[in-house]
Amino acid sequence: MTLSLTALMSWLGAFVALLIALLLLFGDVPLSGGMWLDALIHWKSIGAEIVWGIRLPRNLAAAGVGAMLGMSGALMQGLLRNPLAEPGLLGVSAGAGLGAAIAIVLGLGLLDFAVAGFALIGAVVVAIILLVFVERFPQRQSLILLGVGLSALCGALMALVFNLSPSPVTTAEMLGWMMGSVENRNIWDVLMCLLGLAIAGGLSFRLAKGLRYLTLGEETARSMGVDMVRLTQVVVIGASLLAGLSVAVAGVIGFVGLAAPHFVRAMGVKDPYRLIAPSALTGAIIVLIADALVRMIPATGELRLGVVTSLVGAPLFALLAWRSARSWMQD
Amino acid sequence: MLKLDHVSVKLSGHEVVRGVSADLPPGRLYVMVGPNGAGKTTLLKAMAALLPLSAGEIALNYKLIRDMPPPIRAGHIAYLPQERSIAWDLPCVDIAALGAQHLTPDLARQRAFAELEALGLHEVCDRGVFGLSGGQRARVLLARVLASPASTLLLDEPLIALDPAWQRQVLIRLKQRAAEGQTIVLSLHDLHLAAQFADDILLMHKGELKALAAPEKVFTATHLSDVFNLTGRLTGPPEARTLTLSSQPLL
Repeated sequence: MTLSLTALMSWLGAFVALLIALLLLFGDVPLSGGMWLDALIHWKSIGAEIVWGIRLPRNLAAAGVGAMLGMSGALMQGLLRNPLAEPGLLGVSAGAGLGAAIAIVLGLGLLDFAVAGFALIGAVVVAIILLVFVERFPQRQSLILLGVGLSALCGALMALVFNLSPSPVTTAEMLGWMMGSVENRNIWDVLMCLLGLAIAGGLSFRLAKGLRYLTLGEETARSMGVDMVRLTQVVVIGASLLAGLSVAVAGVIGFVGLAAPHFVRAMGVKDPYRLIAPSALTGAIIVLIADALVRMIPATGELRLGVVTSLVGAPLFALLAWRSARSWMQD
Repeated sequence: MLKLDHVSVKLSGHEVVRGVSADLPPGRLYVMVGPNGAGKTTLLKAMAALLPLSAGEIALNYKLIRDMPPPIRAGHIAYLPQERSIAWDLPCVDIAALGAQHLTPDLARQRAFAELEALGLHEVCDRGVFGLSGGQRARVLLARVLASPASTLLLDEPLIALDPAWQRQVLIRLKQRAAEGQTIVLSLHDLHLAAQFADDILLMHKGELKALAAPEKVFTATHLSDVFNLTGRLTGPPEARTLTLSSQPLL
């Protein structure tokens, strides 16, 4: 039985809300019953500060980052007609990572805004290069080649920054950023996520219907009135904005953008346009669950979010791939 | 009326179609034939405004197709490319309904169901296309074009992957649609089917339109020999034409 899109969105939305609420219960500091009562009644209490000032923004940031990655992955897979496409493919994530690494090596690591700002600048520079290129060469194969090239270049420059890092502490700081985290995120981080989702979601909702026709190939889409240059630009802007902001807020978190659309397809939504919104909610669920594990698994230091998303998600993804392969065999 | 006026198309600097002029009034089934590399696909793509012309003009109902906004043009011209790749495992009915984008979603599905049923796919309407055979997928894609409101259908090798029975069924269906007033242009390699079903044949050779006329006038011994290196003759009345062919030594 396949759920209607509205029903699926409702279920996924309710699950996201439930996870955000449930994860208020978990954190480094165990809260007593009295502290919980304080948190609910006295807004200035320590309990309230922990629950509403630390845990809630963290949960919302985790959901926001996951939603951005899921939506970005769905847009990329739809545009490139490739189930292996993911937000990192265009090099925007690597550009954002490079920006963050430069901020840290310049000694700005303790200033969250500086690191996020530099990450955004890195993402924007890569996105502008992509958009200028798309104007001249709108073919998807060319876009992939350029994205892979930019990703490799940013990766090499990041390695250079690591190499020239003045101290092991700075290197460790950069490495920590690269592995992703939503610890200590605040309301501004949540607002950045909401802004990205609103802009990219609005753009996609209005202008990305062509992804549906692109299912049958570029020639068919063009013959059906799709402006491929405009569609490619819209998707590159949307996916880049989302990927760049996600790195700016939480560092590099792999796997979510690749896997979220696949989970939605397994739930019966195959249309690449209708897949965008549920992929965002599924991405939010993946990152929230991963962040719950980060908090619950005992470790000497806190586990990093990017490590957990990959460690937990990859086997699930393999299981999904195996089930799909088995169903194709039966067909 | 689809009008081609001295149309030329260059691909990678080479002129693949040269100076093609033709008037194609509606209500007829046009079959384009010619050996490999004759320029059939390129000409069809140019007619669908998917390739820029290096010279000449193409007009539909006296309006240049290059001046039509793409969504408007899509309402007038539907195109089935030779490439049949489908990226996602959408249900057949959803793919066929893509052709009826001018209708509300419910009406588009009804239209898609009707076209799929006419093409013998009523039992697999709700199944994903990845579970279908090559021939069934080809019919689903054809249903998408037939569900379109366009007055002109351009079909590049629509019979690829179809068994002989379905090849004939599809041609009968296209002939019906032409009789209802649509302009249908398709490319074919099977000269027997072309002779049997076409109202007019467009004979392409080395990028030029060698002839545009009824099969009796196109499938002459001279054309068959010059263009296809075949000997043969067309016999029988228009409703039961038979083309007999035999090949000549290549050298």
